[in-house]
Amino acid sequence: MLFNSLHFFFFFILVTPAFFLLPHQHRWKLLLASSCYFYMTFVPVYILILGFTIIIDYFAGILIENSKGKKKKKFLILSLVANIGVLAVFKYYNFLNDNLSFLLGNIGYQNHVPYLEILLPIGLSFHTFQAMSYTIEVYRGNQKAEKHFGIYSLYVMFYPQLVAGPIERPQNILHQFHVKQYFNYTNVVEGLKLITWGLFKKVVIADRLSIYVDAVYNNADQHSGLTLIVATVFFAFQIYCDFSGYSDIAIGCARVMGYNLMINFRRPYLAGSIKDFWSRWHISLSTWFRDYLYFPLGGSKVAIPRWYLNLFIVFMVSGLWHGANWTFIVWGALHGIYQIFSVSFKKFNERNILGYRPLTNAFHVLLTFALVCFAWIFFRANNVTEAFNICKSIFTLKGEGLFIGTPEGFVYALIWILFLLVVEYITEYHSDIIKVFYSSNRVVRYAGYTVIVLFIILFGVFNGGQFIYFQF
Amino acid sequence: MEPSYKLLRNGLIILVLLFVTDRALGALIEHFFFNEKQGDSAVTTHGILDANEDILIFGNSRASHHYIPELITEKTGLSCYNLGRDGMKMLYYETLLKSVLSYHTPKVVILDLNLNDFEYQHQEEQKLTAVLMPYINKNKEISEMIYTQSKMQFSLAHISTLYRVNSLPMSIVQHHLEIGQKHFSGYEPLSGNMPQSATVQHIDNANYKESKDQLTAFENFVKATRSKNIKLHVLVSPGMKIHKHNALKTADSILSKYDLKCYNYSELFNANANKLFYDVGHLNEIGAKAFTDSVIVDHLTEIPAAGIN
Repeated sequence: MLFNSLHFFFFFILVTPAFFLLPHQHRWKLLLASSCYFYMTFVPVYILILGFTIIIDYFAGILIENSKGKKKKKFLILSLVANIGVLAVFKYYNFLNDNLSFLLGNIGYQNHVPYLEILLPIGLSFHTFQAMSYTIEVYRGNQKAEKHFGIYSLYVMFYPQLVAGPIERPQNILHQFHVKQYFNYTNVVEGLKLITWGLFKKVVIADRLSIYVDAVYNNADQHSGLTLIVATVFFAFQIYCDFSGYSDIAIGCARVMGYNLMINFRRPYLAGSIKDFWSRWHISLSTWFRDYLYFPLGGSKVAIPRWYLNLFIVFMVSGLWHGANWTFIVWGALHGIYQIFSVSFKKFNERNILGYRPLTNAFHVLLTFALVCFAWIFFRANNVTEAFNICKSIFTLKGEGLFIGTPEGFVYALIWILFLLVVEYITEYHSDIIKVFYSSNRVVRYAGYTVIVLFIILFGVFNGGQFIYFQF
Repeated sequence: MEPSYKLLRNGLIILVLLFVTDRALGALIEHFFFNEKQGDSAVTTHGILDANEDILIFGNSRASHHYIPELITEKTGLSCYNLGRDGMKMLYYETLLKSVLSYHTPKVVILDLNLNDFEYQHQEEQKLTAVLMPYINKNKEISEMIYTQSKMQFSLAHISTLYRVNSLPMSIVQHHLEIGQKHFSGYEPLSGNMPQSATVQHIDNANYKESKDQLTAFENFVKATRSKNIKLHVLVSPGMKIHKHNALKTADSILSKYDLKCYNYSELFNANANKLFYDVGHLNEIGAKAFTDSVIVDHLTEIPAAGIN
């Protein structure tokens, strides 16, 4: 069930009032049942995989809490192996097998390991990572093991963030399921505003841009360098609006019921450096890697070469997290290299190179955006060879002219990107100016709500476009 | 006030506001949409609402750039309109024909068959629904087609007037200001020609795969003309990109059931192609004139009440 479908609309307006009508002690049952239904609308049988990891991690949590020393560690390892094992089988097995076939083929051998005819369960990496954060936090003593099996299941399966995050930490969300949530007008309104804004970003901006991006990237060799640059910039905004739109809807749905999920995006394209970008982009994942991989590797508190290696490893793994394809690994590696350069030239970056601070800041924002866009080429391309060909076409400015597609579609795309940038800029630097949604004047406020909904209806693309991050 | 009542009251106010603005703004945009005189939508509107010509031409962009209705009228004395629309395929032609036949019976129908018309097109259903959405309340055939393609879109179109004109404001402005290509009874002339070096290419499309839906739509198209005793001509107009797949044989095998055949003009202008083509798929004005002349001579001379002038 997609957030941008009528199916979800009816689901939401049935589940939410029912949630408030039920006594507190029964609400978890409603949320768990509706989350199961939500997940099973994709591929029903995959709920068994979720069930498997939930059972393992639930008992692992209790056993970790009740054990000491090596035994405690053993239970943690058991839980991690089970989770990573599920990921390895469903997400990476065929990829590894492919690469094995390639390697063996090069030395004259044939690979007889069979391929698995399986579909990747929706959002597998998201809920697996959320489940792992639970057992790790229990192991570290930062979280008490959850004794209520239903509540623990809900922690993994809570429908707003089940298939594409934000990847929550147990300390933030688990206790909220135990507390009685009262109907709160402010929470409901704030939640609905977030849902509306998220939907706007998804159907008006992301899905509009996807028409152009798909047309170009699916025939990349036919297009000029200029067209490929435009398509890459459009993709940067497409993926941002697609994913942050999803996150806003997820956070909004939870907020309506009184639950607070962590923020996942903070205007990433206004970042002044790659480090800054990663503190604004997919925050729940980047902090996950920071807490559970980067710090355990030693973080920055090691010798400089090791520090650089740590950064590189984290971003490579982050790339691999996104998908079993070399394109994602190269994308991750590029960000790893960017990070290493960023920390190496920190002093240079801090200098006012253009003599006028606002101009220097703008230069840094543009440079960061260009670097991020360059990496997006690998993320979006169908394979690494194609990505390199696209880079070649861009840097040699191959061909002439600019592919427009449908003129009105192209103009809409430009208008909405500009609109988004203006909103983000104002929110970043002059947040007191945006008063449309928060005006004390009810007429202005209601007019703001009406206009945004009418924009969604009039300019949205309703072709049932899936969210890009579902595949991860 | 109880927070739940406050939410209900304010929600109701916003719903009313939304309903009123949706209807008002939607009606205004619809008014401008149905009064367009230029552009693709104006051609479709003509087909769905007020086609009254003797000869109607169906097809995609190749139809709209290859057949000159004014020339046909001049030579045959029969009124003619070109309903070709860029990027469309059999499902669209079928729906459009059925819409026309619900209120008017032309004497002749020409179907310009593209050799890729039977192939599945990615997201064609969505494209078709988007193009025909404004007419959902204007024609039963279209309403049924949209219901079959997407119940969600069908429901949305009945809830919201604005949704029916989704994404259209920009093109409405463009067409009212008459920016871009102009059409004459549906025909869109193209000026310019291919470079001297351009030659006819034979494309071996190994991935060609026929779509069952498109084939059914083709047969339904033929049946619909048969049921109204309309003379149907299925033609493949000239091109510089000749596909070597089996579409023509498939078309003929279906047409033969109705004692019809497909006339293939795809290689008609091989000799001096570069002067007659605008690009590999489309004839320029000179090419369109030459081709229309051939069509008149070969197919439109024996129509009752028509005579070559």
